[in-house]
Amino acid sequence: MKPLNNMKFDLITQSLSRKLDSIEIPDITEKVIGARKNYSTTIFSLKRMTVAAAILLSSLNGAVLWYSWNYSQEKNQTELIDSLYTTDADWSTLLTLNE
Amino acid sequence: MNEQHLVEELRNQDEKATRFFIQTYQHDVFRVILKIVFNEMDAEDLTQETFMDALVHIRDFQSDSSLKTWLFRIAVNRSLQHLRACKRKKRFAVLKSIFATESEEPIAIPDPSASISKKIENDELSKALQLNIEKLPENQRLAFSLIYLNGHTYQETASIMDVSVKAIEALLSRAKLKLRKSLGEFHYETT
Repeated sequence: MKPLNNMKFDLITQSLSRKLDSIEIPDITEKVIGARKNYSTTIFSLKRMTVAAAILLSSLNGAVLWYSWNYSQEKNQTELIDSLYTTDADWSTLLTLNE
Repeated sequence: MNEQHLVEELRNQDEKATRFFIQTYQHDVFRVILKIVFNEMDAEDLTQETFMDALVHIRDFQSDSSLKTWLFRIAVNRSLQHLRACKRKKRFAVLKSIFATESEEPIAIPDPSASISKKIENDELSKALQLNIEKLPENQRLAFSLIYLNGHTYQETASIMDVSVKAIEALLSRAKLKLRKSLGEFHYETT
């Protein structure tokens, strides 16, 4: 099959282009400006939420650290007292100390 | 307002500059997208998305190309993403219709060219050309649309598509030959 000649092809292309050009163009200015504002507000809220979450997490982390340090201190003291009351050697030490 | 000043104002999210930017370029962007996707509604949505992308990423704009070329590049990428999504939807619809039970209705995929085709149905060859452009590979379709339908130069098209002028020439020559052959078949069959 013979390809369409160049001149005819150019005419058809121009005709299609003109037909597409005749389509009315909508004004999207307000839609884009509205969407941009919404986007900025959303991003601002997200940033604020991220900062709040970071503060909350670091506070929680501090609380956990403080609690675990306290717990380990208490545990150490309890273990020390328990060891003093359970071994013979410690009893004798206590008695010696008492005398 | 010169381009550098406009970019600065856009980076500062100045509303007046944003309005000026959209009003200056929206027609050109719409036309570029329309001549790639061939659907008014999709072209309108994609134009909005293009401007949103541009405004959100304006800090990434570097002055190695003009603002207009940068905007067209975003528009072309958006259009390509849209065409790929349409292709995926079509493939999925075909699969779904194969596996659909009798009670299920197959999904009707809107023909992307339907709305414009109606307007050009009187001109059979133009319609055939549009349908054949839609069948071209992505890059050939883009090159043909930007040069033949939008009237961009080879240099501009190369810059928008981020390829060399030689590559554009090759793409265009292949696209043109394919279209001339398919239109030739159509023309000689109908006459």
